[in-house]
Amino acid sequence: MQLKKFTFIIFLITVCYAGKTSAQVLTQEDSLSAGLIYKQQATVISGYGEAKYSIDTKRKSAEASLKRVVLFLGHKFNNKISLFTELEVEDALVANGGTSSGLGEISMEQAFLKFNLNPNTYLVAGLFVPRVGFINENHLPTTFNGVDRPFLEEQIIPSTWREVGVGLYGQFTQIPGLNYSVSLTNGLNSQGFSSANGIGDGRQLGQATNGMNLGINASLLYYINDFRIQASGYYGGSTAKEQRVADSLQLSSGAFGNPVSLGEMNVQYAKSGITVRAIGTIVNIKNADAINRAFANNTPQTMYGGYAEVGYDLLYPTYKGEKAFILFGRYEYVNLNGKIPSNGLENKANEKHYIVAGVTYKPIRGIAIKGDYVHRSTGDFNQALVVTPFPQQVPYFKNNGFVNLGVAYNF
Amino acid sequence: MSSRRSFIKSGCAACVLAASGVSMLESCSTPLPMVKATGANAGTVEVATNSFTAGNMVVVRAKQLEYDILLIKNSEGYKALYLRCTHEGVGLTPAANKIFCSAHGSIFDLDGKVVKEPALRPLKTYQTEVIKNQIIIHLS
Repeated sequence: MQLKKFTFIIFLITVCYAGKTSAQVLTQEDSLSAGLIYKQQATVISGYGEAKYSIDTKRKSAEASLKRVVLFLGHKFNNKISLFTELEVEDALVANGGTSSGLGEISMEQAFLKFNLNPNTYLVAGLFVPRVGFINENHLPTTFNGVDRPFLEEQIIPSTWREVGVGLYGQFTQIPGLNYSVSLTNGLNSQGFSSANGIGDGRQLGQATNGMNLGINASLLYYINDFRIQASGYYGGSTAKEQRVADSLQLSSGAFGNPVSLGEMNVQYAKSGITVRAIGTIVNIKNADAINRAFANNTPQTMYGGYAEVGYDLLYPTYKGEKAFILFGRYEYVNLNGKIPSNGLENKANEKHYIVAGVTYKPIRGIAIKGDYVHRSTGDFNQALVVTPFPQQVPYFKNNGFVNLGVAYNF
Repeated sequence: MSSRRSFIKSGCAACVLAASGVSMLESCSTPLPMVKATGANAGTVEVATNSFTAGNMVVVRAKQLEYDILLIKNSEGYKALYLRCTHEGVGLTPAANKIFCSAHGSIFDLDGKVVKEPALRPLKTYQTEVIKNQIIIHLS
């Protein structure tokens, strides 16, 4: 009997200790959020993910994919220094053993150290996402409407756009609600630019290995009453080649050789379950003709677009956002071929109009069940760009519709 | 050479625009008063009750904390909210009627409740008491 009692006490102590240890390591409440000197070191795990089922109504085809699963791991070393990392797996399967490989990708979405200069100002250093547009920073799938991210913020602003560098973030204490950011990162690689994907494939995503080119990003973000207003700009060199190679390709090199400039402004209004957001952006690639001459990649000189979205949460009067059933509609205009240099080929298929209408149901915060219909209309596809001989050529539909269903989580 | 000149020109123009924008915003908003708090020990912060010089909110900065505290005076007394986002631990931006996270878009109300995710938990609230015209904020 004595032995049983002793064993039971040891068991209780072990369970209590294990519970305490686990809570310290894994929960936000007991770790980073404590914030006191005697609890300075702490580790946080969180994450998000989304899955999608999509039907292409013209091609009579469907795709089902686990779009992404992201694991966040953060560690606070002390009140001044913290680590933030996000490891992302896209499309579920990267390798399946043997010789087979999947369609997925594994990447670090963010990995940076944050140095607090004071409670309002901090520096980041490492791989991070600069403040450009809505989605680049705020890309958690439970926070935006639509199964897919807004198309403009994938095609013109290539979210999630992250590079290696340093950034300064802060608030103007004299003006409550006004935030700023300035960052210096490695630049883009113009070899990856294209008429169809803009600068998206020119992102170096933490693996820039050549060239001295740099990018500067700056933003102002202002919260006033029920409005969020942001303006940001990017200017950076795009020759990611060492000078010897750049010279042979007749590309100007250095920090800001063959510059890419991007400007955007966005506004959001949210009150009583109504959300309205709009964005406009323009990208200019100054020496697109030189890039085309070097890489024959049909780089456009100017791209621009905008979108506006209206949403209303039918459950807001009752649940005040704890649960939500949001009806939304969005119109997007994306022109990836706004201006084509003399040695480029225009493709009207890259001028796109999207009309998106759908629902976002959130039974609780952190979970979203989404459904939408996307109508896409474009100009004619330029047949001069078709290099695949018939019959392999995939039919192109100027007008197409997509039915999308998705689930998403964030914790 | 011309590209460098145009870069400098456009950079200067952007600076002038930004400066004029900031100046315009400054003229139409009132900054929240900030007090650097004292405290007899690491577990408390003290703020004088007459610190509310403009409105009912004061930002309290304490050496022992990573971020500031937003101290709000209301009909029931004082509410002390820790300005640290419960999503990924970034410092928050207090404004007139809400508290914002500039990093990932979370929004909290002045009770510390989540208005918009990604944050899922309310802000940490510290207990307060008033002793001899001093508001004592208990950090534990």
